[in-house]
Amino acid sequence: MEFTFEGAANQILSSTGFSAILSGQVLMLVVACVLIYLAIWKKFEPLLLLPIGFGCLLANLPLSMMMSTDEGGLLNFFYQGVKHEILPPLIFLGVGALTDFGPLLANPSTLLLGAAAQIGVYTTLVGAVYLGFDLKEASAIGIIGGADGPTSIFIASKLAPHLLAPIAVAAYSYMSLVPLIQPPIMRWLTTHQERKIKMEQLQPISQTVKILFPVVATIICCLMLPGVTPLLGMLMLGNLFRESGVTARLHETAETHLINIVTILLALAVGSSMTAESFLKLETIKIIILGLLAFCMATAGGVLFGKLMCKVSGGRVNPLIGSAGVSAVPMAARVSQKVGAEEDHSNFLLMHAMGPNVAGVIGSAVAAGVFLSLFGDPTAPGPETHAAVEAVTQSLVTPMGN
Amino acid sequence: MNNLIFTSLTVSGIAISVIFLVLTILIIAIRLLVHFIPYVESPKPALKAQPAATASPASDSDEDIAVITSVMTTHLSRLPGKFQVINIQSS
Repeated sequence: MEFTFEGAANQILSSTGFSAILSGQVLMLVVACVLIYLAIWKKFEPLLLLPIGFGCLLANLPLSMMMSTDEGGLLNFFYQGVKHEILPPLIFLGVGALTDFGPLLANPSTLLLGAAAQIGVYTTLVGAVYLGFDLKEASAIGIIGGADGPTSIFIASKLAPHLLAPIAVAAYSYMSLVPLIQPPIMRWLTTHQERKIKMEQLQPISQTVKILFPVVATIICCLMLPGVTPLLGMLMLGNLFRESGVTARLHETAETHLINIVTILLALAVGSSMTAESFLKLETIKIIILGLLAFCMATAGGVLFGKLMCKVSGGRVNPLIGSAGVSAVPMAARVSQKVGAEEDHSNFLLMHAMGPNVAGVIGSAVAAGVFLSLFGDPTAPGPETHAAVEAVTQSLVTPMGN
Repeated sequence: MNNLIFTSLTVSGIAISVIFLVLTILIIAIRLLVHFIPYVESPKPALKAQPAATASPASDSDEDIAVITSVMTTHLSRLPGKFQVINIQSS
């Protein structure tokens, strides 16, 4: 094969990304840089927004084969973990290993605050339908109000995979804005007297109860809502690793290395789905607005139910802990503590707010299970297997030597 | 459109009822567990005398103090207002 200087130069020039880049990809590169800026300099959920932003950057470099839809590309393999619902449950395994259900077990009524905060999910669902989304899409958007990234990704990948990228970005962006979004709503809905309420100490809980709880909760919730089993089952298994006391190595791995590795894979996979075709649409702006509505309504729902519990209990519950029912562990509980301490410096709500906070994790998973029961089709075949994955599977099932 | 909004309202009503139902059953299960398996305090190990704490540096975070106070109130069975964590010293 002969090369002329001009021919070789032209060939190299035509093989660069510059020759193939489109205006939409340029815009997405700007979006990626904004996400990276927010993560590094504004500290907005950096553990997630940084890899999401970089995944978006990689996916929008033309000819790089890094989009989630590029068969055989690296990020396409990572994306299989989202498509086949592997990564979000593994994140939940790590979350379970990190979570202490003690405050929830000491005051189980706070589970109702976790349920009340899901009102944000359903008001957003109605809002999304009003803005023209169908019921499946509206459900996937509404779950942003659960303030739980893995749950949002899990539901979006099942019910509205084409909206996965904007939903994931909205969920994680607003989660990082919880300290800004929640306090004005909390102050607006509560009186000075209510914010000053000091709650009674939490009763100590037997270690046996802590061990039995994940098993009992799994049986009850997963029998009632089988669709939620991958998420809730992994959450409770992680917690059992933590509380059983006999799986120290598994517990340590789940709460550190595993969750970190899976976070990288999940965030890159989500970032790789942020292409110009899927992101630069009017729907994305609608989802961003609806996401804010979801967080506001979830906070309001939790605080208002906290006020109800305050009235019913004769003033023994501080309504501020209701806002922690939006999941977003432990940031939402910290916000309750901060707003309470602004009113009375000697008022310590943190441990009390951890109850509704972990209840919010269970509540949002249950909300996801309800959506799957209503709109998911358990008999539907799974997504088609990737050709390369199938090849690996074939090589494993084929006996050696054949 | 109106029909779809009505459907979404119905779905929301059903879904929030199911969530409250599931979590209420979970509350009952937890109450039963705590009732039948009460907390039994383990015998306290002998404590070594610790040097007295010095005046606090201004850098102690409120959040750390909140966590320690919450744990101490639970451990000592006292109300939060009855004592105060003054400073935190790393060993």
